[in-house]
Amino acid sequence: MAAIETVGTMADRPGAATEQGALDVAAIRRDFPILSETVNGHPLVYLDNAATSQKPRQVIEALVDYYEHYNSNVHRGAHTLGDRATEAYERTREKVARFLGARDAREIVFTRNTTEALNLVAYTWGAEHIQKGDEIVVSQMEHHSNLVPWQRLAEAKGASLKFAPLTPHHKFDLAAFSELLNPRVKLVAITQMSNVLGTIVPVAEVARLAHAAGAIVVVDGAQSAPHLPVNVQQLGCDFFACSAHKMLGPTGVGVLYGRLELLEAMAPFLSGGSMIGTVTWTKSTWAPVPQKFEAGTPNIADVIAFGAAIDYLERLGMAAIRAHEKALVRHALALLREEHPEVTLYGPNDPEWRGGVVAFTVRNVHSHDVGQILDEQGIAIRAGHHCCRPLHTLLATPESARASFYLYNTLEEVEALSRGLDVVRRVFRRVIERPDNQ
Amino acid sequence: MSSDNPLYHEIILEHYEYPRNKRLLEAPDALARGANASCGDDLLISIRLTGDGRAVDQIGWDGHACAIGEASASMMSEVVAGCDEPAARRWIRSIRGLVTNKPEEIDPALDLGDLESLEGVKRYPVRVKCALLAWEALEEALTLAEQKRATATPAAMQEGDAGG
Repeated sequence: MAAIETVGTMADRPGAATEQGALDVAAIRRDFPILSETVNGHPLVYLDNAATSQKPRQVIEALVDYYEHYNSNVHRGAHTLGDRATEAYERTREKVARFLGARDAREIVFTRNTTEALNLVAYTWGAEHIQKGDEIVVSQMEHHSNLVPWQRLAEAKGASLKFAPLTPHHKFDLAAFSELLNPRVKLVAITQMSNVLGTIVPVAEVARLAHAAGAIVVVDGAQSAPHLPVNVQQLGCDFFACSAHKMLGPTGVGVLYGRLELLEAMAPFLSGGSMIGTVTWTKSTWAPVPQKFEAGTPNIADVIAFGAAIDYLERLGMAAIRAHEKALVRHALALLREEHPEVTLYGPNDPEWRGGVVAFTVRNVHSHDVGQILDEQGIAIRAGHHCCRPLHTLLATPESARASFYLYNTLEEVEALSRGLDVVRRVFRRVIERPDNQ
Repeated sequence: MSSDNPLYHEIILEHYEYPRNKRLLEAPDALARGANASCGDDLLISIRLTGDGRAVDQIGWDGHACAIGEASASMMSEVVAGCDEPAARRWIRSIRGLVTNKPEEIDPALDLGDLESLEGVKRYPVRVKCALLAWEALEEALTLAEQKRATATPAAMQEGDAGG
């Protein structure tokens, strides 16, 4: 079984930066204005990409260009500016469809973010199809956004929520998952990559098993779409959600991919302008997909700028990005193991099965303090539960520190993280060295 | 040894390493929780009042918080024990003023002592909640203890029920 489902066409795509598809990170970094910032007198070392990514000037310029030259409402026809805005907005839809490997651009719905996309499915497909006694399966490592909507749906319908476990090495336990499947399971909601453990889930296998049991598959792709080649047809999932801001795009834009047949059969989510067909005093009909799910004026400018982000990613190639991050995470895991015995690492050891997310704890030191001391050296990581409180009960720590990489991070920055942790160790030396029974 | 930053003062590190009164009181007069949902900090503060209910006799606490949060709880447990209720509330207001950069709220009659080490927090708004976690729980505990006394009947008090 292939470790990662790759997209043949994406990997072969011309435009990867150098021969063998390796990234020219120095050139890439020059495209990102914010990477020249200093923080507390130190160069910014931005290792919080799982929270949000930085933006290349191409994306920023696309946003400004829209507002300076052709800002106008979309889909209303009538004048040149409106046509240009509509064309640019729809062009992003086509780009996203191609990027995700969808069959048809109508299968791409723009939302506010991944969370909204997942809620859309819960409130439409979920509300219609989940009944009392049904089961919904999620994994133990879901982000709250791919857990809470299903909790609410299950409670509202009298259905139950089941959790697919992880292996002791924090990989997805496919065997245990398949044992959870039975004719009552109607929906499987699964992350493709954990935002805490970095664990990559074999979604194609999950989908095969789920479909055989009669369940649909909803994928939280918030972490995977920015970092892995994704092809929704190859994965076989029914729905896939991701966020622009985690993949070089602006905030305020999310994507819901849904199989056309499903979207066409679903009731609308939000209703109002733009998503209607005919409207009388008392009744309305709906616009065709995807308009049916895009009520009101959309986030036009940011969708257009998101198109520039997709262009940027495609120029580099997702396979090259994945290879780069694998090297970073391999280096990070090795360095932390060698130089920091006081650090506990979470997530799979095998870089084949993990993305560029490294959650860790420092012995007897709260992650908040770790984050603070790193911040003083210009290093941005995240501390807390990362919107995965149930997962942290499994990890037996209420909070963790998390470093997460992206295409513009360097091996030197990984080393800076290790040196930053030297300072943490110095400041908290006595509590770190304290024997366990105290 | 501390980093050369104002937040991790040696005193804070010392209280974090050797927290005072880190054990909940048996049969407390009140128990209150200070939790920060976003980072997983969770402290329980237990207090026992003096027999006449006028002063805080003892404070015990437990839980999990960052160095700032636990050190603050430790220092609080030392400095507020023995205070009458108005003084305890003056402490809470003063520490709040100290860490939120409102020096006018700090009671000049109070000797902050070890708590001076929390002054660095005022430059880090994100850590204010940590520093005040224990103090806000204390505030709630004082109110709870007060309410319990107010609703206790004279008969119950004679039987010692007011002590919980």
